[in-house]
Amino acid sequence: MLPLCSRVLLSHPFSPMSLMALREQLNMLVNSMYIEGLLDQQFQQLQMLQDASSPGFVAEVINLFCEDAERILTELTKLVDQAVVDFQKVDAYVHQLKGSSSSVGAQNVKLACIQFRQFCEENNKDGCLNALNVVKHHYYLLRNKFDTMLQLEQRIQAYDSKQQN
Amino acid sequence: MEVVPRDSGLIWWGFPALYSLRFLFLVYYIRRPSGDLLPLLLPQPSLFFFFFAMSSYAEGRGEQEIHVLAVDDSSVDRALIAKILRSSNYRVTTVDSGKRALELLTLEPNISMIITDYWMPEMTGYELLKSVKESSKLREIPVVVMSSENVPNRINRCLEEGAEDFLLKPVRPSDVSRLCSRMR
Repeated sequence: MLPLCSRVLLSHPFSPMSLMALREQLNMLVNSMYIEGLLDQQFQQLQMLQDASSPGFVAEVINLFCEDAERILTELTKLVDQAVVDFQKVDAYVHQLKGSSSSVGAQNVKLACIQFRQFCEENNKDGCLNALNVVKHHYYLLRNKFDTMLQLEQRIQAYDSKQQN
Repeated sequence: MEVVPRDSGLIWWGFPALYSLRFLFLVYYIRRPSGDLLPLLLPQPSLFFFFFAMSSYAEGRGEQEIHVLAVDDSSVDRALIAKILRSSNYRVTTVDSGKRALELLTLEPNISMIITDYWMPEMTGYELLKSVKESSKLREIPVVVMSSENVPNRINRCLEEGAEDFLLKPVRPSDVSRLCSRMR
């Protein structure tokens, strides 16, 4: 008699062990993001909103956020580079980015935006240049992890749909 | 079950097995001239209750679909508010500016509620609120304003102008569920 686990492995077309490993990896990734402050409670709200009727909701919001953030960062880079900085315009963009990062639960990015707005209020160009770099740093760190997260989710969903067929 | 009434009058009569289901029938016995008792089946209070409950249920189902208009220049926030509203089975239309909102309101007659962001380029949520409340056609529609900033002056101004409520972003399902009683 074969032990139960090998019987399951042999009889299952796609090994359930690697699906478990994928899920484990995804959980560990997301947990580490919470612990390191990349994500806050708001991201949990997004996860809770995702359900059977909208399995791609979190991925959709992440993609919208990244598109929005990169557009804003490009504009900010141009604006802060000018000889005379239009601080009101800069502040308006940072406010937008703060809003979308807050809605997605991107905590570090949001906090960096809050600091950035301080420098705008003080009309401090060097402060703004610095703050923009900090925002970019946090954003790209987050985006890398989001990319990994979405890849893992896709692989998990591919398993689930294969199992159903 | 044998129930033998002695005289005319009302009795409760029911199958023992069905007592727990409250299928008790009200039966009125009358004495015929010949002397025997004749049971008359009366309109049953239990059935009245049953039909009343059924019709309330049917009424609820026949209700018109609630259509909410969400206005926000941020694509992320539009996706979020739309999802929260759709999770409560509301029909949602999202637009990215006050101008588009007003255009849609002239075409769509049955908007139950407008939820708008405060800070938007060109037309702020406050200005949209004012336009709605000044329009004789639209002023009955409840308007809710959202903002990422907790500025008491701003909140008061909006409420004074006739806003139904003011929500702080990021908006959560619990915020939206308390709005359902205010929908038109």
